[in-house]
Amino acid sequence: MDLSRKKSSETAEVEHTSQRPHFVPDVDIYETNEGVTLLADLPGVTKENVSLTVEEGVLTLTGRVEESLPEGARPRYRESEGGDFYRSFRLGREVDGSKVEATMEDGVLRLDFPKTDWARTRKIEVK
Amino acid sequence: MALPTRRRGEDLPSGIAGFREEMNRLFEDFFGGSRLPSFFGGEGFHPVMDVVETPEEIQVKADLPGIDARNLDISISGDHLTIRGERKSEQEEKNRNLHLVERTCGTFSRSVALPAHADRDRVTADYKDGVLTVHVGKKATADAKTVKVKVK
Repeated sequence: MDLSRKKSSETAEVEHTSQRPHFVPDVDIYETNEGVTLLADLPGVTKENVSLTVEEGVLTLTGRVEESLPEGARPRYRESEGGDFYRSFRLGREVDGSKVEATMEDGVLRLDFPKTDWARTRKIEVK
Repeated sequence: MALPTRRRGEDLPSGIAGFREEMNRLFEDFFGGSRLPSFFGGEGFHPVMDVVETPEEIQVKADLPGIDARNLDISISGDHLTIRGERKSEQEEKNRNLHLVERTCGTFSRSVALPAHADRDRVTADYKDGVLTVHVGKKATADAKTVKVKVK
């Protein structure tokens, strides 16, 4: 039984800029009339350790986990492997990447993207 | 550029459906094909856990992002610490279109064995940034008596 998180080396090519492994966070994405919402599980990541960039239509999300083993701590049983979260997404024309709102609560990052005017259904009235 | 022809009974894909197609393709490329099936029957939520021992205490940590910690059921029975709870899925809204659902929800229950010197009477728990930490005190090891066994 493998209970460890998915390592990014098992999925797509990801550039590793540090020695620590990168994990792919679980994500939900759904869409309403107003916009698109993305939720990412980042347990152990504080608001300050989340980095979000939107560049050329690609959203990149990084969450740093601070390993804080106290003095003299000895692991007895470990399923997690310590490492940062990393994932990127291509944003379509339908969402406005520049107006994203990000909130973080209890280890869950929430990104709300409004839809661009182009994507919003425009009702045309017949006079 | 040839315009897509419309077949009978079929609408041209709207912008949002095109977006969904692109997202699906992006995720398929990202994961290199279909995702591995869950080993646990696909249902429920299986938090990752660690147990660490410090000179003062035993810490049992569980990754539980986005749960209501007040509804957790943490108990010790014998030498096993059991954490039970539920992760509720987002409110079902009618006008919502799901593009990707990876975050599992449901009830969970996990147990870990505590070492013999764990003090069941000194247990506290806190929940921060989606991580639950259960602190279990340790009994003073002066209790341990060394018994010399003589072989007849």
